[in-house]
Amino acid sequence: MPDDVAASLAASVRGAMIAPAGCGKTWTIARAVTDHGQGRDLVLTHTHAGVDAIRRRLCEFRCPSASVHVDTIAGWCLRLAASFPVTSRISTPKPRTNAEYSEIYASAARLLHMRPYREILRASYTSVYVDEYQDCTKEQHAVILSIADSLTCRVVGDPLQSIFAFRDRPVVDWNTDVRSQFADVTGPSDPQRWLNTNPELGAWLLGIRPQLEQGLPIALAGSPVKLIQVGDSRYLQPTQVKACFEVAKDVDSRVVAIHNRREQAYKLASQLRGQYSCVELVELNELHSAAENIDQSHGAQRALAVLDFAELCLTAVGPAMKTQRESIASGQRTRSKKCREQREALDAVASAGSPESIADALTALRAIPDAVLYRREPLDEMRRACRALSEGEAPSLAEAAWVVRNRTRQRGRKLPRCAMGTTLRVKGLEFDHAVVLDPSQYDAQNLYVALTRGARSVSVVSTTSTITPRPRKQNSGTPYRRLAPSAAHTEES
Amino acid sequence: MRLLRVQIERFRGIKSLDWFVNGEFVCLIGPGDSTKTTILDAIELALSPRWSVPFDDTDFYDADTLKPFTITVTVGELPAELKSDRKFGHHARGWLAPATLHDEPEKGDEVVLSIRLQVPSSLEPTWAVVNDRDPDGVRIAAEDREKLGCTRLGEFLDRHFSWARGSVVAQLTGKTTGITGVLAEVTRAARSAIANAPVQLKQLNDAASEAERVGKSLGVRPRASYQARLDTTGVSLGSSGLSLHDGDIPFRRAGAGTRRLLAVAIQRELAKTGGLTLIDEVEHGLEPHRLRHLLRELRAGPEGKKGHVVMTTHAPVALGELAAEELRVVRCDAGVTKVQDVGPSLQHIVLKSAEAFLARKVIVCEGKTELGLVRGLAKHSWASDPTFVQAGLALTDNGGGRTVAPPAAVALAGLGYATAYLGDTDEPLQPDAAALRAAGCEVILWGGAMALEARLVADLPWSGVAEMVQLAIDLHGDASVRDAIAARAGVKPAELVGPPIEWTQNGLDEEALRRAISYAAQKHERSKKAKGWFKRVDYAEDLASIVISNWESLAGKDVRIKLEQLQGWVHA
Repeated sequence: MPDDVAASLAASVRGAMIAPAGCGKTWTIARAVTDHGQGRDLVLTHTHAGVDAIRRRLCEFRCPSASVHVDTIAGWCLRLAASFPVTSRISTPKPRTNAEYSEIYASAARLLHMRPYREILRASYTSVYVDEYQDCTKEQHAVILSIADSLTCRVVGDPLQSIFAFRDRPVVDWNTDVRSQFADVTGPSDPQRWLNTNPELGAWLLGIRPQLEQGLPIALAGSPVKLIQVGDSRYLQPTQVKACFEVAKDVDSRVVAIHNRREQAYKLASQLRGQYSCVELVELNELHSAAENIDQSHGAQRALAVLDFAELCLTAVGPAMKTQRESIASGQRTRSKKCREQREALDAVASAGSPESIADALTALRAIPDAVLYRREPLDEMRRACRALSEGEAPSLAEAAWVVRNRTRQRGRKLPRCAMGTTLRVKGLEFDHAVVLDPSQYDAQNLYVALTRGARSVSVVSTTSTITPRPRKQNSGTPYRRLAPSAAHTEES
Repeated sequence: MRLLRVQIERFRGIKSLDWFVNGEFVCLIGPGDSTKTTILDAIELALSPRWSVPFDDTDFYDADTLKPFTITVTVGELPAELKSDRKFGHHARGWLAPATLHDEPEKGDEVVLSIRLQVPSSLEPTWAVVNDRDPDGVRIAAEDREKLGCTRLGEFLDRHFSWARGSVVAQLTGKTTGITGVLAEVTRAARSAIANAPVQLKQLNDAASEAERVGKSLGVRPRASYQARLDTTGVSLGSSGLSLHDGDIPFRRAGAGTRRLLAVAIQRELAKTGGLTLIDEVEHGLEPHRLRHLLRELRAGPEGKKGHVVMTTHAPVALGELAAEELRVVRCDAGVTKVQDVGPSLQHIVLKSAEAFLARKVIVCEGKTELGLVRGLAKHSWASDPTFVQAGLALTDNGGGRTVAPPAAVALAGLGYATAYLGDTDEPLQPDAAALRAAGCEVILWGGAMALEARLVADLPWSGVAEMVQLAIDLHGDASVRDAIAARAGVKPAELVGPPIEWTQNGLDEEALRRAISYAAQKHERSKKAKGWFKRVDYAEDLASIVISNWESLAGKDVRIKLEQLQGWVHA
């Protein structure tokens, strides 16, 4: 049956396939390429993690590497546009901002409308598959359509997992944008992810899709989902913390706790005694702004910038360093013996300012008793950036942070055993147990993504036994106060 | 694959060259040392499927190895595989016919690649696909260059009849897997054949036993016993050891022409997939009829597809078979080589006196009389003059002399040939003498607005004029010549008695006779076409001997002055 799905996907000339979460979407694409490919196929997706997952599958199926190329849409477009910088009119071969990425997509689409570039495209590939199509922006959609003019093209995705739409970067609408261009291909409907762990949960998650598609309420009572109901909303937070600790007790498993607000997620993580670490966005803005602050400040100011950054990642640093911070800021000596070691390390930053001194100071601050590292990734990356800078890989700490971040993006990052994050940050990732902490805030898509993360169990902490998805504001406004994730982020998810 | 542009810097005799090929069937012509063969060598090396090529210091212009030499060849109509972004798709350039290369392809351009061979002072060659975006380029492997299908049929033809890498028979075979296994078997068979011939090997085995004996004295103990055997590493049979045989005779023993024809035939077969054939001195070893046949076949290409050939020739026969637009004149001036198209205004020269293109200096003669005279002079009096030998003679159509010859002279001068124009001034030239001089031609015109015949009649002493009349009588018959002169001179034919030398002794006016002869020589009344007496090259050649025998008495006369001017130009 899944083989049939792969065959019919490969047989369609211009097809769109909907694949629910955990039903073997990657498997289907890899099978279609391996078993039905003629010549060389192009497989595009959004994130490096996605690229890795597809490559692993292809490798497992022993697909010859010469007959397939797997890439991110951004990476593929960038390579094309940067190879012809005059004709593509790109302003930078190293895009970082949303606007710069938009330019890359527009450039790629423009090139692909010209005959010589179609010639190169046709000489390079016989057909193309695009994964996670629901996450394509309108700009990426335009690129794919221009490829589809020259090559057999199939797109695969799940509109119910479309959570990346924001005001400044509209994504495709499956019904209007995708269905008008691509013919429907029947997708897989075997919940593979839960097959050996919790088949009831898998069947239930498949069964609630029609309701979610219409925005109807989901009843958790009597379902395979573990409902942790809170009677009084005052007890909500303690219950959330307790639920997180409870799930983490299964020491051989990978756990995720999902909260819909970033600040709440950080706060919860800081209260979990370091057991949970936050899943960060790929662009990791805090790292880059902190690196810039450190670059631009000198002497005592630089020491304070380092201290600011440490407080972002560690609990207990703020109160413990209160006296020392005031002393550094005012330039007046203090007789306080508290955190002398940390103070000396920061003084070294103030006097030497070297990347080594910064790394040493971060290590010292990490050693403050009771300090809990709840944001491991920025701290580790900053240390790596310090090393990259001292080894001359980049001219400044800010640039070194980019180097380090790009490397991590290419290699794929290591997730903590117990991860804390928002749906945006955990989409596409797979865990054994998932705790959904505050489902009342979710629209249907975010709720579906949250509920489908755990292969063995899903727990939901809620004040109600029935969850009603919030109505979706189509492509208008962000569910968060801060800016929408940049294109670089969608690269990762 | 199609060759579009060739750029050379500091390779052998060429300091620089930038040639837009602009044609599928192209023949390079030019005098010796004009670097024609170097151009073929360069194209071959840049597209060579060999892994490495031994270079030495003499491959550098002026043997100056301080700077690398480079050969950059731009090719189109590429195999799809090379256009893939896995290979060189992202390093492509754009080509807009006839001769515009865009660094990045533009709308409507063809996708092309520029392949550069660079050899620095270390003599280690690198082949790379280059463009302005990436001047260092990406390496292109021998196996990818092989896909372009460039084959040279030149001096070393014999390797093409073995199964060596890149030979035409190897290409015809396709993938040569299996051959290596067969060769290994053959080697093993040779080994056992020797092992089974103990009688013939007796002396060797005696020596082996002796080695065993002395070895033992120093404690070397054999595992079995020492024997003479064939060491397979010593008789490595490569695929180049396998070659085409006709019966038991290696095909390389066949005649030069036959070998060339077979190589071309195989190459044509291969060219069905669109390769380029480079041929040195296409006439080599071939009789004229085989050469003509070969050229026609090469141009037609396999199965109606026009053949892609770049060749050189020194044979007028070959040139006569080619159209002007297929010819390229190669000139090298102090290392700067230019390859120029031959315009349509020279088509008649290609047809009638193709050898002119093989010369350094060309005398464009307005009519057959001038041509015959100069040719006669060259044969008799100037023959020992070495510089004259090197000058070619171009013949132009007699009928359209004044409109056809001058443009041809301008075109030849434009191609870099030292060009002289020899003619008369009795009717205006088009373009005129001043324009010819402006184009760089030496212009030599008979004085007094006279045709050559008239000029000779005017300048020769009476004895010489009489020789001319006698020559005409010999060529056209006594009666017709006498009648024509008599009619013009207003006398009865009977009054012109005896040999022409004696005519003036009969009281006839020499000046009147000269006028009549001058007229009759140019316009022979009895001929329907009213042709002159000497308007054939061979007739005019005989005039030369009259000029030579009267050379002394022509001192100070226009004919001699102009001929000396021509001689001086040839010497210059």
